[in-house]
Amino acid sequence: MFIQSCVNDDIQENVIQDETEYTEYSQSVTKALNTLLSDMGAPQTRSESSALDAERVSYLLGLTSEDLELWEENLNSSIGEDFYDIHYDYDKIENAFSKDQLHQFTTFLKAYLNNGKSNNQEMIDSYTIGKSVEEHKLYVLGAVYIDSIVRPLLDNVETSQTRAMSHCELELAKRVLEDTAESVVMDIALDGLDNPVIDIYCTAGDVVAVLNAVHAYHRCRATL
Amino acid sequence: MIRKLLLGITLVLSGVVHSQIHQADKFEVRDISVDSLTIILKNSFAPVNDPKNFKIEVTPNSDKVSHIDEETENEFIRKNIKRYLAGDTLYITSKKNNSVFTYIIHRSQ
Repeated sequence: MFIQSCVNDDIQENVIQDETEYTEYSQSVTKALNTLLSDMGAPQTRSESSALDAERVSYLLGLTSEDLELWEENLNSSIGEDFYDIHYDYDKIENAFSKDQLHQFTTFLKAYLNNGKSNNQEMIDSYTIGKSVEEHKLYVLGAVYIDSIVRPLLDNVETSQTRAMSHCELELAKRVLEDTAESVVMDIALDGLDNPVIDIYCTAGDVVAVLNAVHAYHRCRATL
Repeated sequence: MIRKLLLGITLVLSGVVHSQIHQADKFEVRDISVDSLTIILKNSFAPVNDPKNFKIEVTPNSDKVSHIDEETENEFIRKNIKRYLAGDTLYITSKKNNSVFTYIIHRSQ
């Protein structure tokens, strides 16, 4: 387990325990990170969604140690070196929770991250019904961690790595895949002005389905 | 500490993305040679490379339907190599029966 909560009594006093604290905690760190990203020249994200996709994560996995050190230095100067030392403890969580508890927590983290919404108290509550106070703290901290660290990082990755396709291109691709019964090849690119350039190759049996999807795409583009 | 945290993120996410890739058969390729890119493009195009099939060119407000011919595959390959070398990200999705592969191909900045 890589995301950890604090379990000793001294540290627990500093751990957020309710929604108000969570919100303040998350907002303060997110604000600091956004300022940091701006200072680093990171472009603003075009999408409100921070949902995980393979490309962004693949880029994240490709960060060098120098990239990570830069993040560390800037974060430390922005929010203080002891921030995470106070609120997270890497060495204690595996002794504090069972494997089954940690597995459930990991499931929650993935769901929370893919949910694409920050500060989702309702989702936290739905996953912690019937769980202990300690587990509830762990889940809240995990959510803060994702909102304050992971989402800003992924947002930055998204904008710096790719020129995102619009909702309409993504819907077209999805529908073509769903509606065609035979073979199809989609070739989608964005030109230098971010205009979509799309070619679709299909069998005679799927031409009507593809054209229907394309017409829906035109209607979608008309609403932009 | 933050560095440990970020390294932890990458490890957590690596498991997530691995499962996603497995389900979607989505592959990201960076800094590939032109020869290797040509092979990927050729393989991607193979399911539709038949003169009985059709090419549909889509712009934001129009579409044009034509038959695939013996030159279409070469055009497909040349066009995408040119885009790749220009720094564009390629999104190539190839479906044959129930098997779908999506390649996201780009050069590092």
